[in-house]
Amino acid sequence: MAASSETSLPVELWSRIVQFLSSCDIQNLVLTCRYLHSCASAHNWRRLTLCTSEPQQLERIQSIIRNPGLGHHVKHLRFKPRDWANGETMHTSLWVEDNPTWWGLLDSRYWFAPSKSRRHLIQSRESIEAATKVIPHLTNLHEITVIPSFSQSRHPVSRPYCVLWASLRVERIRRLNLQLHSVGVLQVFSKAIRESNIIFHCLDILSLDLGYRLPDYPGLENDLRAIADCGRDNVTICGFFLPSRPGPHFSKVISALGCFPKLSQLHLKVFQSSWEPDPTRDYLIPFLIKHRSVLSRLQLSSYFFDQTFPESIFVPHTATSLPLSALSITCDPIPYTRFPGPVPSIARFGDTLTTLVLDLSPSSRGWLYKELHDLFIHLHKPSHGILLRRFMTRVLRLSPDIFDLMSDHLEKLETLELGYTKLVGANGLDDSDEDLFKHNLGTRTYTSWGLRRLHLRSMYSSLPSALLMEFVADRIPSVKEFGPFDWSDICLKIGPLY
Amino acid sequence: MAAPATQQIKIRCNDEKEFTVDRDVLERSVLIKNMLEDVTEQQDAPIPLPNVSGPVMAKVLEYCTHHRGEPLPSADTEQSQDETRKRTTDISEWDQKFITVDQEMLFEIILAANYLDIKSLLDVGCKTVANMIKGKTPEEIRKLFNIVNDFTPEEEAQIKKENEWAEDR
Repeated sequence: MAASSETSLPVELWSRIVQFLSSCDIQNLVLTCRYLHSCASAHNWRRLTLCTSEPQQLERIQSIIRNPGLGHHVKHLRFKPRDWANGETMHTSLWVEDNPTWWGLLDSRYWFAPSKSRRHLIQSRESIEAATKVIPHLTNLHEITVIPSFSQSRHPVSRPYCVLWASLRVERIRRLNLQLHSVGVLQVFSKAIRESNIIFHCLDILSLDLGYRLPDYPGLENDLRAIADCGRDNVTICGFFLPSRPGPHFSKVISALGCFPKLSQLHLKVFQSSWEPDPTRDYLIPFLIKHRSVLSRLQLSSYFFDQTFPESIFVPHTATSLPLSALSITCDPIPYTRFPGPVPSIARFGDTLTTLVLDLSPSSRGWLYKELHDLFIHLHKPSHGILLRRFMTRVLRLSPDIFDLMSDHLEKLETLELGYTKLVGANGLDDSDEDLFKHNLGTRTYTSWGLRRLHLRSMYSSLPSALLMEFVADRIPSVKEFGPFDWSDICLKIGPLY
Repeated sequence: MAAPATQQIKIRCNDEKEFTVDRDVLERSVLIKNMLEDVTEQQDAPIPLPNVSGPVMAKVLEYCTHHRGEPLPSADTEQSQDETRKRTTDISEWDQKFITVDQEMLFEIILAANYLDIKSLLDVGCKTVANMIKGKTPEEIRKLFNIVNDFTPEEEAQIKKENEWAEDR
């Protein structure tokens, strides 16, 4: 056997390799030996969180203050509040686990805690002071994320907050992610930007998460304008809306989108119980069409609380005139017995559409099976323009026909992402997730299928295992990249399209 | 119309193996490109490349020949790719086939690409190693690269603690 090979590459080349790894993989790599630990451990500092009460994060901040050289490795800075009082760490997952139907749908970064846990902590002056101390050492920042505290809506800590922002070196920031869930947060932030006269000269991506309280706020457009101006007009915006109920005020939020003429990606999250008017059909799509929007990536998430569903439950027909390249539809639960699925609408999109995410949560696998079947058959028609290159869906136990259909009909498909959401106890199924996947793959060997990336994620176990990788390598030889995907990828992350 | 005659350049590897190659192919290497620009008159003596062996150079030339004529990445693109944390590990189909070699050769290609300053080839090599590491446990990575665990149990515990500080993504 060859001699130990890790030392045959110098530190700088390992450092380059590590750039292509996720934090999770880096953590495994640094545990292998001293040499690789010395090569890769600094990359564990890629992201730093400030204004948090998590002891580990405070320890990290102290480490940088003691050893300022570490600050250079921090590329992504997050401001996260000291929320969830009494030291109680309120992870979204705790709540989500209580309610498995929601599992995987929710990206914790964009979610509120359930009302029973809304015990607020006022973001303290001390934590901001610690943050202000560490910021001068962060010399290589490229991304900033602000996750608000609920308390900020009532006690905006504007003065120290402005000082903090003014001390940031923003000239190299390329991406700014803001969660503006409340009027207070929006005001604090727009004030900090105005007073500090911040201009993000290199900003490519501005991601805004607008909360459900904003529609009633009269200063919305002005404050959003201040934020739009800080990045000049060269930014992409990703908007998230959470209207508590649809109504005329919703049009104000939509018209505020006019501040961002280069809006290229939008996520509309509708979370309500009444559907007249329908926010997507009646406000968003007409606005985009009227303003000749350059929007190319649209994500629609609908969550239902009663049995009154709009007819455009998945995606309105009118949306098909938009030149979309990526479409994501999340729907939970699916009223499968009452309405047709999304295929007729999807089928109307033009040949620009290459990425499709169907995050549907039906209580009937027969329904999903039929939808996927219709979709693949439809996309295969020569008259049809859509050449799907990336497809993601959540599946239950399906028949092997689905893989057969995909291999036969989706010729250009490069990336397939399957999230397994086995319903516990449903139909008495107790197969392991691996068995489930093997079952779905059937007995065929897909030698002529050009699929290159296959990503799996299971709800209850970590997929894929080394054994499953071997299994796939035998059965779909074209697959070169095989691994898990992140549930948050269900959201179309801003980035280069496939 | 006849194609313009391309200048042929000779190179000599550390095992005395010599190659005669079209200048534009060799200029995929920023190192060689700079060397050639520094030399004003025609030289017959081969360019010595003391850090690359013949078999590795043959692979590198296969890559350069396939990608000849493609624009070279500028320093700017390099930087912006790094800054946007574009951690995509996509490798084109041809490159994928090209880089399907044994581990020793893969590491040799990476070292050669680094020495010769061929950024795109260096990236293909590094992404390939990254793809090999992805999703593996520390023990599986050790097995993959034949690494001996030289941590004391205390050190290992310390690193695990450090890892807890690290964030998920």
